[in-house]
Amino acid sequence: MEGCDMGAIFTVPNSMLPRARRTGNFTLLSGRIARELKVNQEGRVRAVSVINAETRQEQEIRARIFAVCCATVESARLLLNSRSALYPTGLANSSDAVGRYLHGHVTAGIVGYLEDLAGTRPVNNDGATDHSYIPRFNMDDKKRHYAGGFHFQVQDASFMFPHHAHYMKGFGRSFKQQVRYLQPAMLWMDGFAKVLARPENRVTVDPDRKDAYGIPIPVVHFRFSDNDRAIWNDMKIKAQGILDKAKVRALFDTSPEPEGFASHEVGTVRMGNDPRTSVLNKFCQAHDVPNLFVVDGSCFVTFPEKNPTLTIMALATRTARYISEQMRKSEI
Amino acid sequence: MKLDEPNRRTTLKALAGSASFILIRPSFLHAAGASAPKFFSAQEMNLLSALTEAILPADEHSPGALAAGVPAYIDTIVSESGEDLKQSWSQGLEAIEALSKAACGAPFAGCTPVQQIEILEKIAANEDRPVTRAEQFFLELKRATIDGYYTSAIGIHQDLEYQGNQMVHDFKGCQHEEHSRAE
Repeated sequence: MEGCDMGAIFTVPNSMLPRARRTGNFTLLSGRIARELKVNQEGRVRAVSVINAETRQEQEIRARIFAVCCATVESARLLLNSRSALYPTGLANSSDAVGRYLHGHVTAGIVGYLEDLAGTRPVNNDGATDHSYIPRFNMDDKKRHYAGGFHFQVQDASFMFPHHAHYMKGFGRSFKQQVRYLQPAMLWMDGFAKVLARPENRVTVDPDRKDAYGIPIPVVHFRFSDNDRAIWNDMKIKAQGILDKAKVRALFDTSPEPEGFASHEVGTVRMGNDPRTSVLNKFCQAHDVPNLFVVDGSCFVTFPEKNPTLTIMALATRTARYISEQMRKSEI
Repeated sequence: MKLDEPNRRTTLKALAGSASFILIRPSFLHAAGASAPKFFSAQEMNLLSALTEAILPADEHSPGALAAGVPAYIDTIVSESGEDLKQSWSQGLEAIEALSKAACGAPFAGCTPVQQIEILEKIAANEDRPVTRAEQFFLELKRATIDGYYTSAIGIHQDLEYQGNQMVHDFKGCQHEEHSRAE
């Protein structure tokens, strides 16, 4: 799941950057860490101040338009660290929404083994069961006492590593034998459920605590709500039910407490029509700063149980089209 | 080859309990040969060799942690880690040596195999709720041994006989007679 030497699987380095490079209008500067976005007197971003990770030299890069895509925690951090006389609480933050509404997925993983396959000869079944998917199915459940749904990704790990070994007790000959015995029979149900977007769950920056480059670090304030816990609980009950019917034995629970966010954190630079309650408009353009765009999951207002990447890609494509149209009309 | 079937009771016992889930990506940091250790002393490497081999020993099916280069793997990981982790490993190994000297009057590597297993059984007794330093360290040691062994060529190919990641020239479909359709 983590990339492909042949370039057959979609990744940004394999798929998108070569396309960008072929336009001839693309320069990649790696090893630069953005400290802050600097504004001019009209309140537009004029430059990004970056630190070269190797030389520790700071440098300003100017541009006409800035698209921030640092992922949810870091995009909010960059805006909150970009304070000026015009934007004393952080860039594009007149709504006070920057950093707020942090959410993602609450997850629960259950690992078990299929009785009939335990102790059988290993076969090449990579790809056969890797990433089967159970979409949301609780829509018609009248007794549902929470908002939202969940999905399961089944067996989202290969058979190359025996993940059950991390959860088995003991050591020695019998331990090693049991790891081997269960390996062909492994089944892993990974659940992903909706988390509510709430303003009190947020990213702030702490000016007194700095990272190795002297940039104030982000601080994450987060608590699961009652709804988040209820959906998480029901997701586990449903997973157990499915596994029981599939004759999956010896279940063990990889998350005895709700865990987040499956690297799916979103929401800290939300979009909306009202500049008083949102940071970005429907084209991911900052209400306060016309030449600033944020094109990652932080623009999400709410987030269902589904994975975010395709939506992020679609919104980024839409934003790119909007930018090129606006530039043609000289409106930004 | 026929695999011995462990009885159901011991299997369930081994599976009981849970831990929080952190996916460790397979690493391929298995140093080859007996090059000089990067972090541990020669004495600590001896101890680490005895400990990892006791956790995942050679058996009739496959070689164990020592042959798979697990001590060198752990040495590489710890040498590249922060001070907290380095200290935790040094102190953990010390705690086990202290236990060994108290139990059998010798360092762990000098105890008999039976004594070694007794010592490990003692510190593995509270895997759910480790209290003492040695009990906490056992979990760290066991996890690192598992990661090192099952990401090695021996662990992947000889022990688990992993069949994946191969070019599939033609797809034969299901080979079960009862599932084959008459042409």
